[in-house]
Amino acid sequence: MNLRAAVHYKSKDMLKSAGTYFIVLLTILLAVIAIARINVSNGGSSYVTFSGYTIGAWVMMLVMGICAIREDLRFFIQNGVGRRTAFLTQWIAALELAALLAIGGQLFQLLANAIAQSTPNVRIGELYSMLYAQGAMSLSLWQHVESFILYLGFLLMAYMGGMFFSLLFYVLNKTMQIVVAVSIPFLLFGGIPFLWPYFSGPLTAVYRFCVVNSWNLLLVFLIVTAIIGAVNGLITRRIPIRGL
Amino acid sequence: MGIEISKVTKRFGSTCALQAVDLELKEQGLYGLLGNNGAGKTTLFNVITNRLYPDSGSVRVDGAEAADRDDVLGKIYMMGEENYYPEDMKVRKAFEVTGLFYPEFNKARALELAKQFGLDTKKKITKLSTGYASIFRMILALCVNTPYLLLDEPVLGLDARHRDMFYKALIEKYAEEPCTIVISTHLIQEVAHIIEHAVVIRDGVIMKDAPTEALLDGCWSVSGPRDKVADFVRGKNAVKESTMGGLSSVLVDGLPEEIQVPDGLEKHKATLQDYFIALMDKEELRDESSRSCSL
Repeated sequence: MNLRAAVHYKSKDMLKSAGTYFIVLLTILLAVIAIARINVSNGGSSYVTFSGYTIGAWVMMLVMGICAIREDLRFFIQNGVGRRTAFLTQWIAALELAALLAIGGQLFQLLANAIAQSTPNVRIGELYSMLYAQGAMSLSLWQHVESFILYLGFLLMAYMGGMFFSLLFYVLNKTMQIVVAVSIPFLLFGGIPFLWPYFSGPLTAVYRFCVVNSWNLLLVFLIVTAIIGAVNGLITRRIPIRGL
Repeated sequence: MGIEISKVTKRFGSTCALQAVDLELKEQGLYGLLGNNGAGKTTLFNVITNRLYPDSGSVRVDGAEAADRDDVLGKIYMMGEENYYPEDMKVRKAFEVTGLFYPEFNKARALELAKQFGLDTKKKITKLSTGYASIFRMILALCVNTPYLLLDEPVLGLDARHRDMFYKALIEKYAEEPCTIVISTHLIQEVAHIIEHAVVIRDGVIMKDAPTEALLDGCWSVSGPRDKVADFVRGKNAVKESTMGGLSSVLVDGLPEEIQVPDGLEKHKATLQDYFIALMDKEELRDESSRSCSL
């Protein structure tokens, strides 16, 4: 199997992406602190809040999923890597990037806590802390572990989702691509409010299940990831791989 | 051992690109895959390398099923017309990463060839001109050292000098490390002296599959005054006739070498290109007559 070579090739990309993300986020964080300090020095008393790390990472994983798969399939098939290995490489690479970003999330939380000690008018919160730790900036070791695992599932789901849309647009013809492109915003802004009365029961039940603890939410993420991942695998098995 | 293609069929909508193709590409040999545009040459290569799945049939490499098996796919390198490398990848980087997947890849030789051909290794692959993009892919193909090499229109966009350099490098490579090389091209005349075995494909069907010498054995081009040529070829298997004014040239198949032509006529060994054109014309005529019969 060429799996080792494929993962080695892909890992470099993932490390580069994670590094870039950390630099961008750190810059934003420094800007937030600077604003907060200027605010205090000017006699202001308002809070500056920042809670974009996890959502930012999620969007990045989604975009990576969208961008990477077609390019990788082309490159791997040119280099004698089968579709199954190429697909497995995507999972490993996604897991690697998700793990890096999830670890980054914990470091970010620790950093936020340290900053809060010296700059009290800065509020930095993350998804886990806001949902399951009442917005606490200081988390216990176990909470960090829970938070890490939750982010892992959350980010993996984003990558698989991005990959799904990329593959979908790859297999559909022009007309169907337009239909799908129009349907997505329509469904989000028109369809969901319209259908809400019909599906509010089951969706509320899922919501109630998720807010109980982070493991329940993780289970939902993993189920969604598994379903999308399976569909992605089926599409990847047979799609024609064309060059540019 | 070799590549065995059995009953491979591939359809694109109503077009049948490959129709129950049976073909064997033996270990170590220079094959020419010849066919008109849309004959199914690229599709056949794409099926062998798993870029396309056949609707039916199978491809076996050294006895093992090729579909989606890394160990088998790693034995084949296809140089296609299209770019399969990331848009922002530079030539030098491509040389580096190819070594990850093909341990036998000779990077030093690749850099040497790049220098010979004047290929700028600092350039992005997608920024290369058509000719240099072909040179880039050709260098990779010549240096991966896989047992099977599929070259799809390898000299696309190359000038005469670079084409000549390519054929020399190819023969050099084949002499040093013999492998199976399949060249798919429209430029039959250029590869005729290289290939040992010709496979002619038309509308997804293999028309001929034989050693080049055997294919052209007994195939002669007789030319001279029109009436004299007509008299000579009467009763013989004349496959193609071309006339210009009072002169005529006829391609005759199955003509023994010892038969002498009458005075005023000339007899030349038919070229692969002559043979190919004659075969295609004959098939075209057959198609037209079958179409008119069905009407």
